[in-house]
Amino acid sequence: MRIILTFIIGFILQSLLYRNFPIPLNIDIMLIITIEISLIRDSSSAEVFGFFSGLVEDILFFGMWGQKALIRTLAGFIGGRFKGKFNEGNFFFQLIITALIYIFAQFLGLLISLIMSGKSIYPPNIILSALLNGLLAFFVYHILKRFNAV
Amino acid sequence: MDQKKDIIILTILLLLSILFLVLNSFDSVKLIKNIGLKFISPASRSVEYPFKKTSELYNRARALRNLLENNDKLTKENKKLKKEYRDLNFLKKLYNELVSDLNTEDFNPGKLLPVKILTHSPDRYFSELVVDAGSSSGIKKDMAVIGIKQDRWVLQGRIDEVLNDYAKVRLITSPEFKASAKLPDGKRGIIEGNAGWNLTLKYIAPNVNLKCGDEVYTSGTGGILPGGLYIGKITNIVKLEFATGQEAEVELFEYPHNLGYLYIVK
Repeated sequence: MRIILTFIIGFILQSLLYRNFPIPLNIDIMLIITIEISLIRDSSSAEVFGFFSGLVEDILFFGMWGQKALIRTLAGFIGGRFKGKFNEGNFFFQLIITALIYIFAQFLGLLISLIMSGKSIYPPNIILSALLNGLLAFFVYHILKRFNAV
Repeated sequence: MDQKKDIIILTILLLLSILFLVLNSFDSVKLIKNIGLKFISPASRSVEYPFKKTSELYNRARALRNLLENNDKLTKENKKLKKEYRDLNFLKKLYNELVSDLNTEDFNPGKLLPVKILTHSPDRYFSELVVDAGSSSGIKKDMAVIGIKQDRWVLQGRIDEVLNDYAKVRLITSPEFKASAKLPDGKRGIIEGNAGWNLTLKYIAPNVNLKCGDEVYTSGTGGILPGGLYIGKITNIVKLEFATGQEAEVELFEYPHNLGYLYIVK
């Protein structure tokens, strides 16, 4: 139940950020939540969360069906590989792991677009966006943990 | 066991994702997508609506705050400008008063030598007269000759020729007499005699607003005659053709012939 609420809140935040974010950087809240679920709970929950969040986003934001679902499923799987191996609440761990998965997700998205439609749009400021997502991940982790939201 | 379950879930989800990806390339799915969008769009918009409105409200509140700040700033600037405007008006008034004072600056008599009129030649009645002082009294050519009436110093002419005990005065009414003159607003012209009772003020620029009754003084330009000596009043204005300027007829305040004594400015 809590995870559904997290999904809804995350989704609302995501849809707001899509259209109203004032700087040309991309924040992927749902990807961050997927990673945090994989670190707080386990990778299978994160994979399911990532799949459905991606699919809903693909459908609602008129994207390519399955693209984000696939990316986030993999993101949940990768995040789960680090569970219990590091101090998950550490700022630098959160920054690095989220930034790396974000960059991976972007390149995978590019690759899928290229394969499926033959064209791809390179996302702007990928490194800065990755760092921003990494920065946010630290706070999202502690909020989810604090409210026992996942 | 967990890892195996994890791999199975991952595989299923990946396969589903790939299935969805493949579905994208079918035209029928595109049609479904379009129909779906028709329903989803309003739902998506309705989810976004309250947040959009909140965002708009926030932006409006910010704009209102900026507006209030700008209003404060403008009010302050307006106050400052009003003060500057008042100061400017005050300075303008002061300036005009000073200019007016400068233009109507009284003649400072300094050292004057009173002389008596000796002769008026009838055939040169408007041109010259002789006074009873000459070079022995320190009189030199071109010295200003003035008279006094109603406490005002009036220009009467200048020394034209000097003998030992006598001097000939070129009268202001003589056609050979010319002097720089100025009007109350500081504009200048040349006053000339006409061999008659009145004088002519010449070479007045076309844009000068001349009025009957304007007083005319010496300007002091040239350094021969002192400035601020009263000459007379304008009685008639003649606009010259082709906008070449204007002339004015000036009635002399007092005629030399009416004065018993004249004064030579040394």
